[in-house]
Amino acid sequence: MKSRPSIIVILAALVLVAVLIVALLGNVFTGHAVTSQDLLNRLKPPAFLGGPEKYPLGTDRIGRDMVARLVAGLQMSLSVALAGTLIGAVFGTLIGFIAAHFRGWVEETLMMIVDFQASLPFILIALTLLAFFGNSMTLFVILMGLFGWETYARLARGVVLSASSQPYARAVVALGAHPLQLYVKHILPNVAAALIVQVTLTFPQIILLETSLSFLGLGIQPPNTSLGQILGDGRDYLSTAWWISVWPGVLIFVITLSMSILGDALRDRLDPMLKTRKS
Amino acid sequence: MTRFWLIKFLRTVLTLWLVVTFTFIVLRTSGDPVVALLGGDAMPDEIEQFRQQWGLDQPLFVQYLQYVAQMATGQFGDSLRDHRPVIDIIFERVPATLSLGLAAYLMAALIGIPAGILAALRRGSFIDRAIMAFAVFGFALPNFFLGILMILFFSLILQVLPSSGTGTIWHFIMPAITLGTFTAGTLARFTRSAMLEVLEKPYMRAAAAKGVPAIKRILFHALPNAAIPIVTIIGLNLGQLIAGAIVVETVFAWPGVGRLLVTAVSQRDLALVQGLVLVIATTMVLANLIVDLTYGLLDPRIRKGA
Repeated sequence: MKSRPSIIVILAALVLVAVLIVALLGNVFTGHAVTSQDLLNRLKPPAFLGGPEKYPLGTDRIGRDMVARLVAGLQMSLSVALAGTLIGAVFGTLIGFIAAHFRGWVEETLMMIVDFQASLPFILIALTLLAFFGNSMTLFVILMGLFGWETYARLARGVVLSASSQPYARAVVALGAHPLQLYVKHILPNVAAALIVQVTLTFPQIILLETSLSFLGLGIQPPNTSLGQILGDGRDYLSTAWWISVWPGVLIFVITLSMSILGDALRDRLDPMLKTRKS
Repeated sequence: MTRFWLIKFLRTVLTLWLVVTFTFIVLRTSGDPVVALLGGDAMPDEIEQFRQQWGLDQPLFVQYLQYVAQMATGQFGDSLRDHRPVIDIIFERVPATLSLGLAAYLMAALIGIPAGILAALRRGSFIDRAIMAFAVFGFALPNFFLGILMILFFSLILQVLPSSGTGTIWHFIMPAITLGTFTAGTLARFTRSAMLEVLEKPYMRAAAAKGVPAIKRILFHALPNAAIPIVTIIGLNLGQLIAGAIVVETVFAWPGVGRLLVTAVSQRDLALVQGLVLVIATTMVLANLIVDLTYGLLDPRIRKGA
């Protein structure tokens, strides 16, 4: 077991910090508004390939600056994924606690729903809901939150069940603590490590889900934009303007790759049990 | 033994029931089912006939039972766009998806399993690390981006492979690689850890001591014992593969079920979406049942233990 993180892990963390800075301060870097069109400079290649100097990464089909588009897409993709991850983690953990607290038919029913969701690829559930309820930003964020909640629910339930029989939990109950107090103050800190690991593993998957749906034209809708949507938009211009699709793709890849490397490292560090089970 | 089959079978039925219940709830909470399944411009007598056919004048519980019965017998209604039975439209598309899925699995197995074995045999070496790095790349690379990159290089720059459609063996190459990469990565990772575990077993040393050649030891002594986790992963990955097919078929304009689903969702052809979800879910659940039963056959310990 290594005590110091490897070069690759540090690199992954640095990349993520850089991405985060660009997302937060991105509007400072871009000289153009996301929506400003320059119809004389449509589908111009990046500056380093002979395009106009003022568009370092090129322009899209209506002459919008790719840098500005990418920053806007990045902000949307990251915030949707972040919201989804948080909703899923909180909701799932809560359901897990409820299942473990009430036991009986409540637990049975909740766990049946958990099993149901785990038995289908989530994109299928997402597409069904999008088709029937119609696409809206609210529904889309809720969908991202529904992704992966079942993993948290299983995790939280398992931990509560095993913790409830521990002496410390019984002591807290015997001292007259409210069940809520037991869960929030005493059990939650014990699940925290496992939950954080799960968050780092779910986050890249939600990014992939959001970008896939937006790529298919079924996620984030114009005038809003996301990395997946830009990529999908650029598909029709692959032969003339490959940069429209390639930049957002590279960005998505870099984010998911760094996040999974970091997530794996975190898991090995925080949760040695998982590591021994894995290999 | 019988109990093992019975539990698996009951679990399958339960999941299918949940899927049908899910589509029923979605259909009912999203608005008027008549408008949803028949479209907004239906004639009054059409609506009346539809109401009777689907029992919409009955109490909700009766409607539910009727719905389950209809879905179970494959009566998904007609497509809003094509005005043809949904079930016919779906089954026209099944062969394309099935052949693509098989090609992807084949590709994943041919690359993933040998790579995993190699990594396990050369544990800690450069080859091991390189293979595992590729596996991580395979997980993180979004399939739609991989597809786009391949179209860019092989169809537009080198002009050696067709960018879309079906027809020849060449059309299979890029979609199958795009779809199979994730599974290949997963397989490599799990084959490696399964092999590492098996290679340390006493019977491997016994075989070596007996003078069995290395290649025979690996193929006939180690691999069968590592088969369970590998089969499990192939089974578990079916969901991934189906999710992948939805995207990959759209990227390569592959005329399969996945692309049909995407078009149906974007046109809000709800009868078709409902039918597709039920058919895809049923296929997956049944495939999982088959995988479960396969380990029962592969490993007597599992079916006796259950």
